Amino acid sequence: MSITDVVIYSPRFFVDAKELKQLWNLPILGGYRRILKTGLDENTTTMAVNALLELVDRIGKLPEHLFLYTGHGMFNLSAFLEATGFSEEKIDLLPEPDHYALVALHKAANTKQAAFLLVESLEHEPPSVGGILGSMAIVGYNGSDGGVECNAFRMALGARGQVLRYPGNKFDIRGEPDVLNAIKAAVGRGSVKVIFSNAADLRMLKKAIPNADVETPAHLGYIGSVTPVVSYFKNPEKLNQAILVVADEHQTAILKPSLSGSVNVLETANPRHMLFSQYLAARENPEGNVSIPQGAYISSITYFDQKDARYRLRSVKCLDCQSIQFPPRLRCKRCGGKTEQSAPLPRKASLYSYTKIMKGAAPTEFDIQQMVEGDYCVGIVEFQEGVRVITQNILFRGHIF
Amino acid sequence: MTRKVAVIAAGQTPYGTLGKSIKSLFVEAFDDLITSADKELDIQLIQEAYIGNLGVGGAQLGNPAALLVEQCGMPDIPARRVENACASSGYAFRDAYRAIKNGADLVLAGGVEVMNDLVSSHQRYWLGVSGDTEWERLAGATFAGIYALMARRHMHEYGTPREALAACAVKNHKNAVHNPYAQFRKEITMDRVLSAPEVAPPLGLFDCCPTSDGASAVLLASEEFAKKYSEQPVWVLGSGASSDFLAIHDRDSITSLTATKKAVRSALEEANLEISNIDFAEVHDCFTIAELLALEDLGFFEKGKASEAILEGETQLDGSIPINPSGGLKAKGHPLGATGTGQIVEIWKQLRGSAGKRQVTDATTALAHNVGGSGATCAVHIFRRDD
Repeated sequence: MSITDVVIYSPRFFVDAKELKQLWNLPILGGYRRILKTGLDENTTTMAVNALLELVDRIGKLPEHLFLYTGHGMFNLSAFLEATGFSEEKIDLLPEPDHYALVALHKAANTKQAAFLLVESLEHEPPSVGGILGSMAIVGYNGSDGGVECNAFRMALGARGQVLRYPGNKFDIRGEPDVLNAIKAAVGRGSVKVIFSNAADLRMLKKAIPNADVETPAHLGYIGSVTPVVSYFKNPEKLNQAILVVADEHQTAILKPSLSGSVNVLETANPRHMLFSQYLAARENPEGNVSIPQGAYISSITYFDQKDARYRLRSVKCLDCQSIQFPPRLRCKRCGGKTEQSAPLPRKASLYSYTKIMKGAAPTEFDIQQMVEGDYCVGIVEFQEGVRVITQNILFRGHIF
Repeated sequence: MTRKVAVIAAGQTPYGTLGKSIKSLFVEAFDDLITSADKELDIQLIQEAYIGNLGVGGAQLGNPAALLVEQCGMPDIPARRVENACASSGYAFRDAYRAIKNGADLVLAGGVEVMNDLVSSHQRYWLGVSGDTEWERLAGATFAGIYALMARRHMHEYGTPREALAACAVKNHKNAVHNPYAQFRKEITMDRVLSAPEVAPPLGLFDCCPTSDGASAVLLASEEFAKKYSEQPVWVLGSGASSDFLAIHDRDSITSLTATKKAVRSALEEANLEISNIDFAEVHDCFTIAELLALEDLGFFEKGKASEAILEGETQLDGSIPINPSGGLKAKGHPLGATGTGQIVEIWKQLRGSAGKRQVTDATTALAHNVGGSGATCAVHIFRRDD
């Protein structure tokens, strides 16, 4: 099997229409009927770092090479390099267009010791897109050291062209005979599931090929080109009978994978990264610990300046008075001496103080969180005497606050 | 530094939602200042200006100090903006004080803020920028939230009752009824405070100061000028200031503001006074817990004992140590950059016996306490009238 390990980093807020309806008992109006939202301030860069660090933890090393698709978003490559320790020459950066997500997947599957990393965030799209907000980072690893099965990710279309270009600024599948023919041919070959990323065109596709078994991954929401890939990994039983279609107004890519084995789909265990319904369930039956919140309106540079503290709870120690300090600082807060990196703090701490930010009273960048959660708790936790940090998501007496 | 420093004029606008620009507000405060002087002042004698301002509702004006002094008719005097969050004009006053100490004769200190011309979402975005943005803000904390964390811990360590916090708000509203410059001139009941919507528990709506527009200005003079232009100068006996860790989790204690403790110690030392010599104080009550902390940190009451004193009425206008006769930030209002010198305007009126129905009787010595953010900056000043 080509891709040996996969981590899907779905951001903290992950709500679909059904859940919204349950939560608020509201009718869900038309358009895209789901919301998928980054946690507060998470963006393509932080999600990519989170996903890759998780993968590195799992496989125990940095991949030899990385095929990185960053979507249309504002990806901060230098911050990513600094946070992950990856060197730039080992990265093939594949920004937009959309079909490059599949290209990255394809390339990684054909390169040993390589990883692909796909990040997409639609947070900054205007509401006219349909009121949808989506984000996702997915990273996979091809760790096999020989005999890579190129067949695993073979493009479905001929001429190895894989990509169809077509004029105009609006994608209409009825006007694209090549796309339709390719899908028709695949459907004709047997029971094939078409996983389609562009929900707006889904209805037209169904009309054009009535016998096609088509889905857009409703449980994931629309997150551009990453959506079908995620769906693909989330449904290993469908792997032998799926076509992935990524389309935007510029081009289309279709991928017909034919994996023979099952893919190990692993989501990060952090309670921040799950379906909202699971998040609610986790509140009832929690397993977890202190989780440092992600950024808000500060620059990526500032954010990653303390990456070891944010991702690893790394403290510093004063070279003069030996006191341990967190968050890290260059000079000791007790004596002004210089500090050096020290051990990560334990993820267990005592609750020092707490409050609740009531709905409507939060900073604006937390509006979405309040929309989803209502009031949220903020507390100060104490790791050891005098070493404290302010945070959300504290597991306290069996509940996550 | 033996030169004596006096306040010889002081003025302000009313605080509230005023619908005026910073230019109009500051000139209005300046005009009020000129009117307050005992003798006619030639404004061309003013040598220097220090103007507190956080950012005019996040509009990030550059060079506002030059704009404001030219609007007041003094286009060429050296002026600068002083920015230390809510303690901006407390520090502007300190700079003006030190300018006189260093040889100047007539210096203007003031502050201005316009907060109500923003949509509420922009306000909520902007109001958090005076705290730690890298950790506090990323955790979704607001200023109310930060002070709520202090309040919760104070309750935990000292058994402080919720009612003691509420009593600060009730008292300040009561004082503000008689202050024509105050934003809220209505009494409120303890029940109303306790049953108000929660903002960040244990703090509710009436534990929080409002957002306000406003400006204030005071004129500082050397002894020579004070005697020449004032029949009743208010002497500045001491100035103290201190910084502290910006983020609340970096501080050893969150049940007191170390910056307040250090600032008041310096101010008292310079004034050669004890805290017991102070007759009344204007303290920085951006939240009710902040007034309680100030009472303890300034030394009026021992740590953990302020709540008892508050509930027994000792901080009322007729109590043993009247606190915030103006109504404080809670009821007089809190136009960030204008608040510090606004407190001094109140002290000027009180010490000259012109505070009307909210007059503190027999007061000769007073203290102003101005805090920035959640306590990262603090300025304390001590004033006395001639006997």
